[in-house]
Amino acid sequence: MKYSLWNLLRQAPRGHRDWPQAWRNPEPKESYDVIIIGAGGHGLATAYYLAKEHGITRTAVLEKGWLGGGNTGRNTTIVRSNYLWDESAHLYEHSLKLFETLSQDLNFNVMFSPRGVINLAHNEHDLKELRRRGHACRLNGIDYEMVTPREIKEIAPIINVSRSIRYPVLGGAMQRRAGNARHDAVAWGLARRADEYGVDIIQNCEVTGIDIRDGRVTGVQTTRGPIRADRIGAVPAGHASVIASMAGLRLPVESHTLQAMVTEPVKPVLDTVIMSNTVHVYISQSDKGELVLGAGIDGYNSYGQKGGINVIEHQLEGLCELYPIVSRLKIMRVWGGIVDIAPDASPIISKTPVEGFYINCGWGTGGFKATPGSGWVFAHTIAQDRPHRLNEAFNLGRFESGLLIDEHGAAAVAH
Amino acid sequence: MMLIPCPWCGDRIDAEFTCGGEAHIVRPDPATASDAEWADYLFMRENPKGLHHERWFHAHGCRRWFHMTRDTVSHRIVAVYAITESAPEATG
Amino acid sequence: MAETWQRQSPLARRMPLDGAARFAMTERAFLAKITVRGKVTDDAVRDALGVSLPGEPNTASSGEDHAILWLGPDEWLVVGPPESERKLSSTLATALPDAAVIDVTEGYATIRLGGPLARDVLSMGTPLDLHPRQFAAGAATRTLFARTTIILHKVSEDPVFDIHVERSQAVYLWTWLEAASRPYMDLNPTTRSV
Ligand SMILES: Cc1cc2nc3c(=O)[nH]c(=O)nc-3n(C[C@H](O)[C@H](O)[C@H](O)COP(=O)(O)OP(=O)(O)OC[C@H]3O[C@@H](n4cnc5c(N)ncnc54)[C@H](O)[C@@H]3O)c2cc1C
Ligand SMILES: [Zn+2]
Repeated sequence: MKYSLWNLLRQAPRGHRDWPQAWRNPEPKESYDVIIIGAGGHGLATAYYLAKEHGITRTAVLEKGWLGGGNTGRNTTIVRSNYLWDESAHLYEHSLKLFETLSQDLNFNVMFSPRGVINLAHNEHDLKELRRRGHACRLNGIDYEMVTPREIKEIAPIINVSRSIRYPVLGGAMQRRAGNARHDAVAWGLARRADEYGVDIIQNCEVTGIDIRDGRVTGVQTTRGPIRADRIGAVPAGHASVIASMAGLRLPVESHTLQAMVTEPVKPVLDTVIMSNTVHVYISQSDKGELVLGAGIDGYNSYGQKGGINVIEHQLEGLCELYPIVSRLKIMRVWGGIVDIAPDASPIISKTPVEGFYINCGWGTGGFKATPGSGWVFAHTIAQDRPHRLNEAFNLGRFESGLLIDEHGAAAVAH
Repeated sequence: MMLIPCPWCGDRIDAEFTCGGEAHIVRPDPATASDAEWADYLFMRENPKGLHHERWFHAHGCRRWFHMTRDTVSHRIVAVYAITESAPEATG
Repeated sequence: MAETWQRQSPLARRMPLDGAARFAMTERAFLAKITVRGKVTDDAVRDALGVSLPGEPNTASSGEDHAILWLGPDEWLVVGPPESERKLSSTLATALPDAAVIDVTEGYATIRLGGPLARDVLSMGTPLDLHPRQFAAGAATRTLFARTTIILHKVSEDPVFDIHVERSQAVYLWTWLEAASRPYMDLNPTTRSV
């Protein structure tokens, strides 16, 4: 049922008891045209665009937990496209454009809020790096402008722009079209629309093996029995290596815990997003009023969704200096997600040596912003058995050819 | 947070150490290695969910490298051995 | 060694804290500090300095004038009285032909902590167990303390602790310790932990 004013009025006299479930909870069928592993935002978007753009609806999305319970539900929801290299800029910008109309497209409010994202510069090098990235972005038609400390102070009065702190704010760069979206809503909206197209979203269904015959995939083994399909797209985020190993492949990614936290809710004090690569701190305010604070990754491989307290401590030290009001707030929750880090801080959206097996991973600390774009190009890759122009460069082969897409500058801080 | 048993200094918090990643990666001869072999050596990793052999450096202590076998889910440390030794049989 | 007239300790302008009954903090300026790395034998060291070489991790040995701190399986810090670094390093270099003997006197500052609350103050910067059962007089280690690397040496059971810290971190560490000690300075010394 469409979410509209008309339907809202119609449901009101019935006490809103007749709204249908947003998605079904189907039993797995014996076979599908396409199986997507992982019902995070990227997996759901892939299924959605497979149906919408390519008419493929006999799709199952298999999820070992509940949909959106992975990094989709754990991230700090920053959406932006100010990347350095053309390949990334085009991909992330495509995604940002999809975000701009996603609520209308999905008939579900994903609360995309282009409140602007500022990157801070704390030294000469930062300033130069931001200027360089700004030029590169503008050449790609992406807005990214330098802002002075005084302008930053006007936009965000809670920031400390004193010259006497350890890492003073010397300036920054701002993408005004960037911002936040509601992470759960993105997953829910995509799930609801994919379900409407007939896609089976099967939760509590862990993939435990991948069946391959003569170099081609034929299906998967799951905790709810075998399921056949000759096209399988894996979008398992932190578990990419685990899934790949089931297909006999090794990936250039390592899994690490990335943490974030929120303070108790307060009155609106910050209506933009501010990131600092140098002190590894970033901050925004959620609609509930909580300050959302991102930390860094733990320095060792981990599949435990629980990180080191020293990382949080480090993070808070920086925050208290840059935003002194934080020192008076209580931290309500700290949590972690498992992120898949690639050597060039860029994703892998690629065919693999196993025919019919496609992999979409390596988004690391920054894939939420790419949710619709990633699904869009991955759906194309699976449907056509070849990458779209936008994800051609993000193939597995780049680690052999050396054509890496080094986005450590744009992705240095978790975001 | 882990307590890591440095073979020299004893138990110390993980913040004193730097993790050097997957252990026992053998460098192929660059003169004869194919691009695929070289990529495998440089970038491809086991990244297992479970026991992982890895290199650690006691950066803020004795400044020595050593090997450690650790469960990447529970962070249980099952073996600590010298940087010159190969992986203990029993652990995988 | 720098000429004496232009030589200044990074902590020269810091006032010592003298709450002897609770917590005291002073600088031990210009101690000679030499690192020794390589093949070192106990005999050679004892012949040269009259102090035996600490062979065990987390320990130090001390003589009349010198202390030797274990830093790693082939690395030690030799500490001597002010102005002795030239002589000390040449003595060590002669005695230990198979080791690298490096004068790091100007690279490190030394802070001495004392008083019954010294352990409580230190415990705010490190999770190391500093209880005398674990960290007795003669214990020494390089460790992470309040985000910086220090070499911590428990000189005596009174207790007295020496902290050797890289020169550029010295003011930071001093200020940190000052702040950490503030709540303790007003405490009754009998309330310290045991
Ligand atoms: C703390 C934190 C903060 C972040 N902040 C930002 C940010 O501000 N901006 C940004 O752009 N990005 C951010 N990210 C990164 C972003 O969350 C991820 O890159 C992105 O969500 C990954 O794609 P996904 O949503 O599909 O992953 P997920 O939601 O993790 O989906 C993967 C799914 O696969 C499932 N799965 C795994 N193995 C199996 C199996 N064997 N069988 C079945 N299912 C399986 C998992 O259960 C999971 O639900 C952040 C991440 C974290 C952890
Ligand atoms: Zn050690």
